[in-house]
Amino acid sequence: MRPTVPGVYPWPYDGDWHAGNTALVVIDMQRDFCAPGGWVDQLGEGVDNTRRPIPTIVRVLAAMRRHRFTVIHTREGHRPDLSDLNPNKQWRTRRHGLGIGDRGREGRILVRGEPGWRIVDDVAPLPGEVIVDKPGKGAFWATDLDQILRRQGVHNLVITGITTDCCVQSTMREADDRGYDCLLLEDGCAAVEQRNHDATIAILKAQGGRFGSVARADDLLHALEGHA
Amino acid sequence: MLPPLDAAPYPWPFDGRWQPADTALLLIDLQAHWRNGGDPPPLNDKVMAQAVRALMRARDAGMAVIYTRHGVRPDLSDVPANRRWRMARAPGQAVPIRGSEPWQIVPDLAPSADGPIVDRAAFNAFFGSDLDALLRNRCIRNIILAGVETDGAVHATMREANDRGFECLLLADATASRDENAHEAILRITQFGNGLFGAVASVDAFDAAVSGFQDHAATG
Repeated sequence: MRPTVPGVYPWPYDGDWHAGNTALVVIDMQRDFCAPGGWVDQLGEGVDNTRRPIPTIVRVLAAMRRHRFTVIHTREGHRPDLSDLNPNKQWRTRRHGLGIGDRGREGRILVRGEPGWRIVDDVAPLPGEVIVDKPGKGAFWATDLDQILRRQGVHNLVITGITTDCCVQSTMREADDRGYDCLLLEDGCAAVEQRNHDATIAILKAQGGRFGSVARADDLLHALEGHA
Repeated sequence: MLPPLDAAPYPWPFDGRWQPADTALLLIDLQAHWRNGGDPPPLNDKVMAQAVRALMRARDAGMAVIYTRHGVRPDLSDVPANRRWRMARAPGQAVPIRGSEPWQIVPDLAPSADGPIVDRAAFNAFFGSDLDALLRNRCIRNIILAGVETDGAVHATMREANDRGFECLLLADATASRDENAHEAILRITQFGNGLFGAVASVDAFDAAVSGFQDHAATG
């Protein structure tokens, strides 16, 4: 058996993790959030922060693919007719001047099938990897993610992606309530604003880890290769 | 219609549509456990007083008031194995046992005879509960949240309500955490991006919006 990953608590709690019961989840690494020219960039927020975890996710993806772990990618996006977009979500994003469903430089913002909605090339899904399309912030809301994980016998999740304070935190809380033992890689995720990333990590680490454990990618990779 | 409520980052609700019949005050986990325990206890006198004000105002206006209660079965069969392990390891994560003294809602904020109470074992009050059914059966579209803890059950429930399409407002001074920094961070993250999960306001602002309506109704 592999050693546990040192973090807020030694993960997983029961020490049992392998390719058959553990999945890597890569959340919303889409052009609209982290590519130059995508939605966040067009809003003038800058994508330096949201791009930062890409090299880390590339390393973790390569290692976990090599060991044949399940890899799951999520994409936030809406149907072209926007019938799955809550009116208040559309209204709030339009206050930026360019909202979900509006036409930007990379097609309609966060609409399924548009160029900006695609996952960035660096961490693109390989054929056979699971992709979950989600209309909300949490990846379990209105999706088949829970069904897919249970069908495969997965009960441990390694979580990466963007953004830490929004979709990453929602998904980790959802997964934890459902009994999955989660490990968030703090250098494998990022927020648009650094202080919101830092505050979220502090909240997730508090009280011995209320929603799972938190560690760095190297801690995971070290344990993955069998080093205690 | 009620007048727009003075909230950040936008006057709430987003579309200006709210009235007592379509709005619920959701009081999260106002239980003895968080009044008497914790380091420090998040449900302190100041927060208690504001929660009582919000409760009275909502009742007077005829809004639905829904309580949640965080509690686990005595045999912990409703707690996932990893959470059981963590609770044993970190006493700060303890959740009261259903039926026990710490599990009771504090007397000053106790529900009226017909006030629904939603029991569940998870942080998110929608998970494994009938909360969504209670809200939809009453045709509720706007939810005002108060209670404890800001970074625990309150935020988990607000995130879920927002994904479900409810328009949410968090009463900042009727909400608290044992960690003031975490409380402040959640208020900031909630308002980020023009309100990722809704808006934030004070009990004063809630009071002003609702009392203006009532005065208007009384005279007009």
